[in-house]
Amino acid sequence: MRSSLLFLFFITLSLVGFAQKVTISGYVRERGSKESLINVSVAIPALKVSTQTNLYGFFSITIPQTAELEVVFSASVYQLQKTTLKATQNQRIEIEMTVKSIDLNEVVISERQERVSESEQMSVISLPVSQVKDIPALLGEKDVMKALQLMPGVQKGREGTAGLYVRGGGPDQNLLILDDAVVYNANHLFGFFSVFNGDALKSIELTKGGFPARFGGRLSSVVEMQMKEGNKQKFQGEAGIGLLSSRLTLEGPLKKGVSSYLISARRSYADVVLRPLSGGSFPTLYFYDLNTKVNYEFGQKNRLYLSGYFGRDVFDFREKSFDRSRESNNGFSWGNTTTTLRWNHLFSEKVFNNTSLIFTNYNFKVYNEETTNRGTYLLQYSSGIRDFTFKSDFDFLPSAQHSIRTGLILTAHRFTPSAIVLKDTRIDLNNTKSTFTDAVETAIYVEDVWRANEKLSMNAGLRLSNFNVKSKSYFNLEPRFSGSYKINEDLAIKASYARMNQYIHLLSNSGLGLPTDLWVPATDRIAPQTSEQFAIGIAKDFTKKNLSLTVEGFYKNMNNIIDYKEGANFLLLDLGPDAQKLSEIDWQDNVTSGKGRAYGIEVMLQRKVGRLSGWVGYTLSRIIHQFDEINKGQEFAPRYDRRHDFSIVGIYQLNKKITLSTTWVYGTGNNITIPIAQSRVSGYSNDFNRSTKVQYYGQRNAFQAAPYHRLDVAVKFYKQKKRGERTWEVGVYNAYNRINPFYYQSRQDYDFTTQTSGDTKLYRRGLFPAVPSVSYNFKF
Amino acid sequence: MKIRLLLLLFLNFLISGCEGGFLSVEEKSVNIPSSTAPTITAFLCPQDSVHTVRLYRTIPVVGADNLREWNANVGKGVVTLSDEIQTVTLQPEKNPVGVFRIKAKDFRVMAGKTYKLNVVTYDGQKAEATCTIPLSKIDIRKANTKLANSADPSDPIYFVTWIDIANEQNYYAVNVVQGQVNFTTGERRVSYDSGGEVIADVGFEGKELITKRSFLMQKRRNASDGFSFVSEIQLLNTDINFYRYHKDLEILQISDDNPLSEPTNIYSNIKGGFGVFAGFTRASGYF
Repeated sequence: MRSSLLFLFFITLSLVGFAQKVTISGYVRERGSKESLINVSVAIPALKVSTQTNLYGFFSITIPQTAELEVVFSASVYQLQKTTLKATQNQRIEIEMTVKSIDLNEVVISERQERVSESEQMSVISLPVSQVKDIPALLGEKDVMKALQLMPGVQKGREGTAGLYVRGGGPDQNLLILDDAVVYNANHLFGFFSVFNGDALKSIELTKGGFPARFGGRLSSVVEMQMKEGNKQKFQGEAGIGLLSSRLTLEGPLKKGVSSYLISARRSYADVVLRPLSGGSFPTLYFYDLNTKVNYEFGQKNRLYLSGYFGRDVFDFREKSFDRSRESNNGFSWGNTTTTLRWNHLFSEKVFNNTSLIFTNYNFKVYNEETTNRGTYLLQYSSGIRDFTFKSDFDFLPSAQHSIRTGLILTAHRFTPSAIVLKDTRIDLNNTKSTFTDAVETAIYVEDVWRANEKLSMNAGLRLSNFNVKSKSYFNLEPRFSGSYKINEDLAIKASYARMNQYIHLLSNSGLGLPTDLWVPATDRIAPQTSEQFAIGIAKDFTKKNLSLTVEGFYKNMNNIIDYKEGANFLLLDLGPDAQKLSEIDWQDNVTSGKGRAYGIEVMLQRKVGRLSGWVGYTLSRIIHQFDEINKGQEFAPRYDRRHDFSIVGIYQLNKKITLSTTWVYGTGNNITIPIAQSRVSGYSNDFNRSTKVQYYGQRNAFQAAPYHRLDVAVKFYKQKKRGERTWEVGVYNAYNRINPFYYQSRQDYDFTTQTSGDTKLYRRGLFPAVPSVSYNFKF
Repeated sequence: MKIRLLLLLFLNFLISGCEGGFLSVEEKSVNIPSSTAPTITAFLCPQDSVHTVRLYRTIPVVGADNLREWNANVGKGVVTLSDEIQTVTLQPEKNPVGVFRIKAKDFRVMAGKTYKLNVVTYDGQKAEATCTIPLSKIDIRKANTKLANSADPSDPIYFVTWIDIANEQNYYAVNVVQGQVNFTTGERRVSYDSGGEVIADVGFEGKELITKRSFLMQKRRNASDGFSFVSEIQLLNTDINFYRYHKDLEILQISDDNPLSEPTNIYSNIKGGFGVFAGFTRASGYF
C-alpha cells in the first residue's frame, strides 16, 4: 500500500513537472557474460549532464528532446563506449561494455579511468576485483579486506589479520554488506583471512565518510560488496589451488539471456597437510565457504535475485591420555550464514525499486568434553546474533539534475550473548542456561543527488533511525551531506558531513578477530555509539595519464564508544570455585563507555587502468580516547593510532604472459601497554608462599612499538591452453624478512654456565618471516 | 577453567611460531617505560598485636638484575609510621627479608584515626602514603554460614553471611583461616589461609550480605597437645584502599590464565611506589 502511494506520488511529479522532456533509461552490462555493471558513468557531453548506474546496472536520465545526441559510458576496467541516439521520445536501451583486455571494434574508442572530480561523493574508494586478485598476498590467498587495508585512512589490526580500522574507528564500526546482507564476522582462521571470496565478487566499495543517508548503523565505514550474477550466455568456471586452500567457481545460464547462476566454494586444508608432518598431533583446523546466486528476469520490468553465503570454521583438538582411560575433545566452531532475496521492479523509466528480504546469522561455539570410565563432562558455550531484515529502496530520477533515493529498512535482531550447557554424568548434572535479547532496528531515509549546474553538485539526505530493545527506545535524526564544486574540468573541491549512530556493539579484547567476539545491543545502561564526521578535500584528475589524486582532511567525534574495563574477561562465563554454580557475568559489567576523536589528512594517487596500475597512499592522523574508568580517566592514544601510514601498490603487466606486482607498507608503531615493572605480592593474607605475580602498568598505551614495514612481491605467469587460461603465481610475503611486532615480552636472561641471572630485556616477537607461496589457477 | 586451556592451546600454537630466534629481536628503543620504584604493602588494624610493613623487590621491564643487592640491603631502608602525635621506626626482620615490624603496644592503631607511612629505601628512593582506619566493626554475632552445594559431600563448603553496617559506605573482606588454637593459652598455629574476598555494600545498605565464593570449613575437633583444629572466620571492615587493591588482585587472578584479558592495572595509593597502605577493623569467630 505504502509503495503504491509512493509510486503514484512519483508518477504525478514526473508528469506535472517535466513536460517536453524525454527519458533515456536502461541497463549497462558486461559484453559476453551479460553481468550488470555498477557505478558506470553515463554522460551526455553535449548537454553537460551525467548520472551513474545503480547496484543493478540501471540508469535513467531525463533530458530535453533532442534530435540526436551522443551518450558516453565509462567505467574503470571497461573500455570507454560511446553511442548515438535520437532523443525524441523515451528510450530504453541496453549497453554492453567490454573488459579492457579484450580486443575491441565498433564504437569503442579507448580505455579511460573514472574521474574522481566528477562525483559529488568524497571518501569513497571503489576497488576493482581484478586489482585485488593481482595484489601479492600472504600464502597467495587473495583477500578483499587486506587489499582495503592498503588504502589511506584504513589501518590494519595485528600482523596478518583482516580487521579494518577506518579513520579512528574500531573493527566493530564497519558495516560489511554482501548483497544487502550484513556480515557480522568477516574472519576465517582466527582473522588471518576474510570470508569474502574474490572469485564470487563483482564490486567492492569502501565509504569512509560523507555517508549517503541510505547507509547507517555503523560509525566508521561501509564496505559494500556485490556478488556476481553469473554468466547469462555460457557456462564458465575458475579453479585455484594454493598452499592453504583450494577454490572452485562455476557460473552459467539457467535460461540463456534470462536467468543465470553462480556457485563458488573454498576449502582450506592446512591441517590435512600438516597433520602427517606433525606425527598426527596437529589439530583439526579448517574453513570452508560457499557463495551461491541465481537470478531471473521476468520481462523488462522485473528481476528476482536469490543469493546466499554460508561459511564455517572449525578448530578441534582431541587427545587421549597415555593409558587411554581419558579422552578429551575441545574446540571452536563458528560461521556466518546470509540469504538475500531481492526483487527489482521498474515502476516507470524514472522509478526503480528494489525490495529485499534478508536473513543473516552468526554464531560460535566453544566446547570442552572429557570422557573417562566414570562418565562424561561437557561444557559448551555458544553465542550469536541473528537478523531478519526487510528493506525497500526507491530510485526516483525525475531529471538530469536530481537523483532521489528513499527507502526503509526494518531489522529484527536476536542477540544471544551466551548459551551455556554444562553436563556431568559422573554426578548426574545437566545444567543449561541461555539468555537472549530481541531488538528491532528501523530506519527511513531520503537523499537527493542534486547536480545544480556544471560545477556544483551535492548529495543531501536525512535518515531517521530507531532502536527498540526491551522497554528502551532510541530515536535519532542523522543529517548527511556531501558536496562538490568543480574549479575546472579536472579539479574539484569537496566537503561532507555525516552524523551516524550505532546501536549494536562488538565486545572484543583480543584484536585478533577471534570467534569469541560478541555482538550485543545498546541497552538502557549502554547507550548507542554516535559520531559526527566532517571532511574537506580536493579531487584532481590527470586525464591524459589516467591518474587521480585525492587529498582529504577529516575530523571525527565519537561518543559512547565502548571498551573493556581493565582486567575484563572476554568470555562471559565464570564458573568460579564451584563447578556446579553456573553463573554468568553480565557483559554490561565488563564494559565502559567513553569518547574519542580522530583527525587527519589522507592523500591518494591512484591509477586503475593501463599497463602500470596501483596506488600510493599516505595518511597522517591522530586518534584520542577518553574513558572515565580507563587510564585513571586521562586521555590516551588507542592501539591503532598510527601517526604515519604509507602504502605503495604497483601492478605491472610486463607482457601478455607475465604480470608483476608489489606492495610496500610502512606504518608508525602501534601504541601498546607494556608493564613497566613487576613484583610478587601476597596481599592481606601475608602468606608469601601464595604470592601473586603482579605487573605494573604506567599510562595506557604509553609504549610505541617498532614501526611496521613490509614488502610483498608476486609474479603471475599466464598461458592460454586448449580449454582455458592457466595462471601460475609465485610470491613472497615480507620479502626482506622484517620482524614486525606481533607482541612484546620482557624476559630476564640467565647464564646457565655461571648460574646467574642477567639483565631483563624487552623482546619484540614477530609472527611471519619471509613466507613464499605458489598457487595455480585455471579459467575455463 | 578448562575452556581457557583451549584458548591457550591456540595461542601457544600461534605464539610458538614467534618463539624462534629468527622471529625475535631485542627492542633497544630509548623510550621503553620502566620503573624501579619500591613495592610496599602495609595493613593497619586496631586488633593486630604487631603491625607489619612489607617491601617487595620491584623488577623493572628492562635493566640489570638486582636480586642479591636487594636481599643484602633491603633491611637498610627506613620505614616509619606516624599519627598526629608520634612517629615510630619499624625494625627490619632478618628472615624473611623486606619485612618491617613494630609491636602494637609501641604504636597504637585506633579506629577512625589517620596514619602516614614513609619509606626510604636503601638506594634512596622515597615513598609515602596515608590511610584512615574505619570506625565501625562488623557484628560477629549476626554473622552466619550457609551450606553450598559441593561435588564432594564429605568436604562441605560454606558461604559466609553477615549484616551490613547501616548508614555508611562499607567495604568488606572475608577470610577463613584453618589452623589450631590452644584455648587455654591462646596460642594459634595457622596452617592454611584461604585468601579473602572483598565485597562492597552497594545496594545492600543495612541488609544481609553473602560471599560470592564458598569456603572449606571444619568443625572444631581436638588435635594433640591441647590444641584444637578450627576454622576461623575473619570479617574485615576495610577502607577503600584495601578494597580496591584486593579487588584488582582478584581480577588479576581470574584473568591471569586468560591470555586475551585486558591488562589489570593494580590500584595503588603509594606516592612514589607501587602497592597499598590500608586500614581495617576485624571481627572474628570460630566455625
